[in-house]
Amino acid sequence: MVNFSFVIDGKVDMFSLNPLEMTNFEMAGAVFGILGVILHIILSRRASHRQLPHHFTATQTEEGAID
Amino acid sequence: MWRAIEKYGVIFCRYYLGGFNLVSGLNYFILFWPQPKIADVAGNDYVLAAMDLKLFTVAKILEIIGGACLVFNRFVPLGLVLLMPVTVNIFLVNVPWSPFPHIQLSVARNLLMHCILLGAFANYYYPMLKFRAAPQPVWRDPSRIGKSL
Repeated sequence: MVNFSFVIDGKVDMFSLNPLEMTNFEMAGAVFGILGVILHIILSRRASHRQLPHHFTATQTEEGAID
Repeated sequence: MWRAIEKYGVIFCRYYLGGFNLVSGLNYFILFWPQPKIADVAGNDYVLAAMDLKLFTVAKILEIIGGACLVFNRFVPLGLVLLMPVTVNIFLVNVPWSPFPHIQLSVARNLLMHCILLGAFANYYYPMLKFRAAPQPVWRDPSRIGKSL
């Protein structure tokens, strides 16, 4: 059975090989990792939105404007 | 699909290793969690000697600097190089000697993530593979440091 024992008193079953049973530092790393990936996705989406190519409109590029 | 796994896997490894080391380093000075107890006999003397020589403090400062580099995505290749001695030392002390499988797994995972990150940022280390290197002293042109930032 998967158990999830995150405690902030430094106590953890050191004989367990369950990857979900983590020490405080591992849990901090996992929290940083998951939040970092989510933050990266959000920021990259916002950045790609800002980096869309400029759309020229007919009023900006009038053919024969020199004439 | 694999490209996405590769991309986000590297990002996860960077944040995981950075967060782990940053929190571990800060915890040594601030102590918001109890310090992990050393249970093994053979590695115990090594850690106690390192603490007496203040090497442990140096390692924790390196963990804070390197961890911050990885978390904030600044000077990541330099941060990985700074953290490598710490990761390797923890691996060598714990994997053969620690009686706890959980700790062995944890330090092995950290070393694996470190190697993945070194491989991911390998383009910054290729210049080191120069077979015959000629010196270009920094004191002849210190402005190169600023230019490379």
